[in-house]
Amino acid sequence: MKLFKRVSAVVASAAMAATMAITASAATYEDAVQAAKDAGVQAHNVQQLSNFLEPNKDKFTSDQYDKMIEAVKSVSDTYIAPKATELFSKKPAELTEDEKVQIGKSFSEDDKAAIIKALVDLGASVGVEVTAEVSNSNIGFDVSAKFNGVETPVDDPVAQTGDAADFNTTIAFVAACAVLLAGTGLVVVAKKNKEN
Amino acid sequence: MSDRNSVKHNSSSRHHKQSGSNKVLRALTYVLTPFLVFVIVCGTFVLALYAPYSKAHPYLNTIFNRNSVKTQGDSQVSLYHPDDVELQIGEVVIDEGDPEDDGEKTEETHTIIYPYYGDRYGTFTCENAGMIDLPIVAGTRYEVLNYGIGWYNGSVFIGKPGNVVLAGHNNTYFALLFQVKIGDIVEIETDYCKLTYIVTDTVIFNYKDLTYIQPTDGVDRLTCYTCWTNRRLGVSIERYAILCDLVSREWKEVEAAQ
Repeated sequence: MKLFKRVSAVVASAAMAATMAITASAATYEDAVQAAKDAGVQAHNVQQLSNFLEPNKDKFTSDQYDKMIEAVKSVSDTYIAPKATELFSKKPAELTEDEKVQIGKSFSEDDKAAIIKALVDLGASVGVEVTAEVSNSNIGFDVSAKFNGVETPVDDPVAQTGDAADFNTTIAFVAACAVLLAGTGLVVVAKKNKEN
Repeated sequence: MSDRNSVKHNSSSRHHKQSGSNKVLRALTYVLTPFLVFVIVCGTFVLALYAPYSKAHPYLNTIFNRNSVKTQGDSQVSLYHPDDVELQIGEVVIDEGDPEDDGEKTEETHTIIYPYYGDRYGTFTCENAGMIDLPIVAGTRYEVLNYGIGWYNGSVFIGKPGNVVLAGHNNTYFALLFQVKIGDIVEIETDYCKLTYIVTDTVIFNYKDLTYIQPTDGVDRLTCYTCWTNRRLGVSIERYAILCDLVSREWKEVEAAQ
């Protein structure tokens, strides 16, 4: 599940990035969103893509949308469609959310790395800083798209909503070392005293 | 004779040296031992309190009122964009027709103000639970949730048909979420619309279960959740959610709001 979330999150952010490309045809932002749906991207990531595109829909040319659609389709054809056929005998667009999760789990580490690299590279090529930093979030890392100084992070599907103590493990490590050193010091001092 | 004297002298000098080093060692022991014991006691104390502190942290925050400091600066977070960005205004077409009605659908166009990530987005009210005009911010990253209830950017924009998902910390903005009862009215207000919901259900779900946060294909719903630790504070892998159905949707004149 984590794997697929990672992939779909990056697909969504790369799709965001792709919309910033500099090119001109007849596709609209709705087409781009539909392409993501058809590609088998998880529904909440498709919604994230839609939420990114909607406020900016007039800022992109249809060529830019075409480019984004092409990128999403390419990833789907290479990685998702074969798995969808193999595991469920379905097309990516026909997958249920649970099946999408299963497909995500079936990806190898190499597949995941290749998908992430391809999509992040696409973002970089169109002037959008797409970052995918490893984190403790429940999708495995923080994905974010930055353009013109405006950053749009991709939220975790379910957020951490408890108050976590930002207690650093370094403190515990230092305390443990201090106890150890002090203990050793005491032993040495006691030994010296005994000798004299 | 002289040899004997020399031996005596050497022995006394050694004794003198030894007694000198003993004094130093004794002095060192007096100073060092309490210090080392102090370090051991402190270190053990820190290690022993490591886990309890994590659990007590939210309570300490509440006791010392640290949470209220964060609630004061709720106008604009601006962590994710420059201060001079333009307002994102757009038109949305909403089907106002009753889906159960066989009659014609009436499409209406309304103005919407799209939020930037981390910005103040609206307010949340559930009078029966004592939650009045709590700030809603766009995004649900941990740091953003310190400034208000977070709108999940994988759910629909507030006002658009679909599932609006809100998340909040269980020690601050959603501390009273557990007080919300089925049948209570929840109101969400932004600069461009006001939505009224009725609470229809409460659920507890695992954070890996995406059932309640998924888009609902145009079916209006509000999902509000927080960490579920059996009514205690702290972090959990379970979430407590209230599910609400839409009662009414009112649109505002955006010019007036600006």
